[in-house]
Amino acid sequence: MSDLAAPAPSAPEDARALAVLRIGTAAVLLVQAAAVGGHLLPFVSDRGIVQAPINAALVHWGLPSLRWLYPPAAAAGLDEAQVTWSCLGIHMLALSLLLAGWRTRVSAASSWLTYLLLKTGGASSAYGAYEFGQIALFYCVALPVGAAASVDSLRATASTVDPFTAALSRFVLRAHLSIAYLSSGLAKAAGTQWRDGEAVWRALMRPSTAPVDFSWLASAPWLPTAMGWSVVAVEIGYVALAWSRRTRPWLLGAVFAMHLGIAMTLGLWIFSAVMLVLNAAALAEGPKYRGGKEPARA
Amino acid sequence: MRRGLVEYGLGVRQVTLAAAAALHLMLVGFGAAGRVPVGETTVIGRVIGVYRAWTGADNAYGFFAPGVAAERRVALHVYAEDRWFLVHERFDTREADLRLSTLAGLFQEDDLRQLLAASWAARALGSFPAARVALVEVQAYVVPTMEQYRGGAQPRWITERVFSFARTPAAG
Repeated sequence: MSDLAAPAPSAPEDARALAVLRIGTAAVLLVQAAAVGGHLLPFVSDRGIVQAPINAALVHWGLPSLRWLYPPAAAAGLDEAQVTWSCLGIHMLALSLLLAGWRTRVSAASSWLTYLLLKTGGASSAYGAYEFGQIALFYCVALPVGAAASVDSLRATASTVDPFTAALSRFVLRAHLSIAYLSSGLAKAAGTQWRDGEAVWRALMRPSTAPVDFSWLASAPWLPTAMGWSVVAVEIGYVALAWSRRTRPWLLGAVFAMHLGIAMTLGLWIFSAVMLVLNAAALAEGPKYRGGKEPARA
Repeated sequence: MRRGLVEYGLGVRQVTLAAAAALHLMLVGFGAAGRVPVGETTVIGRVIGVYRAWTGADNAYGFFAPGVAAERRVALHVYAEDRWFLVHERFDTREADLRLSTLAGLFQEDDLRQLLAASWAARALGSFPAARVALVEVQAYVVPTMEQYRGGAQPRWITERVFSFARTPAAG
């Protein structure tokens, strides 16, 4: 039954879940920035592997671009590399403040803007982790993610949370993930590779993604076939299972297993971590509210 | 007692927030379906387009779907000082290598292939000032089906395309 009609989780529980989104997103994206930071210039600079006009052609015209900053920076004596490093530095600082929940909305907006600048600058090499990183940061700006476990929540002005907004926020997260997984699941089911196990086989046999030898799977084709069907079932079933408190723990377990498997076998650790954070924020249940004192309303 | 969203009592603020959420989710749905809700020939269409791009609501979520494509990589062959140098660009972090692999995957796109190759060659020629020629070799890792593998076929790198570029004498 939908949360729009059924008893909703308490506001503090929703606020804690949104804090998971804030802390998890900031922590994962800090790791991502550190992991790619030293190699950023080959992906985003004009003298990189792909020149800037190609990257610019791959993104929407309305997205912010590092190239916008070059003329004023040049006037200040900064070259393109220094602009890129400065942007990365501001990004990591903003993420650190977001992690702590200090002036959460401003630090989230700064993280989002600098992430977009760095992502669009290297659009040709940005993969799924960057798409969901961008989405997660947008939600950190739009949703009340600083209402719990944050520096802001320790200050009197930010100590209350509006129960409706908190519940609506988690509803939006669940709905967004439901749409994403359904779309992905239907696209997978439309082809034959996920139904006959070849997709799992091919993915695990890719040289850059498989840290261990999975060639033995060819002798047990039922296993990749079962894994392929499981992925499709979890993704398509997500939309049906995300809306009941009874099924959410099972769904969360299945999604955790799927993304943990993707991380361990394909080496997509950042992507998986972002997805786990989003799912934890959308689906995780705290201890049941046992009545008594009503949650505070703003 | 716990309460449902509808029991919080809907004021103007709540209705506005719910409407904004519904609109956002509708755009997410359009993105997932690979559809553009309003063409960017109008002002409202452009505003929606910018919103979708900034928020990620334009994403189609087609990761590894409908199937898993062959992995690609680029081998650069640079001719300098009367010999060939082979360059396989690699990084020391997994994340950077994933980005490089994503980049090489773009060679599947017909309209980007030549531009990418030219860009890669320019980087190679820039790194080797004495180089006169650069070959950009796009390789694909072909994985046989499980049945073919049991029959003895092996995964292997094959050359998919080769693009050649020569340094032209500077004008003047």
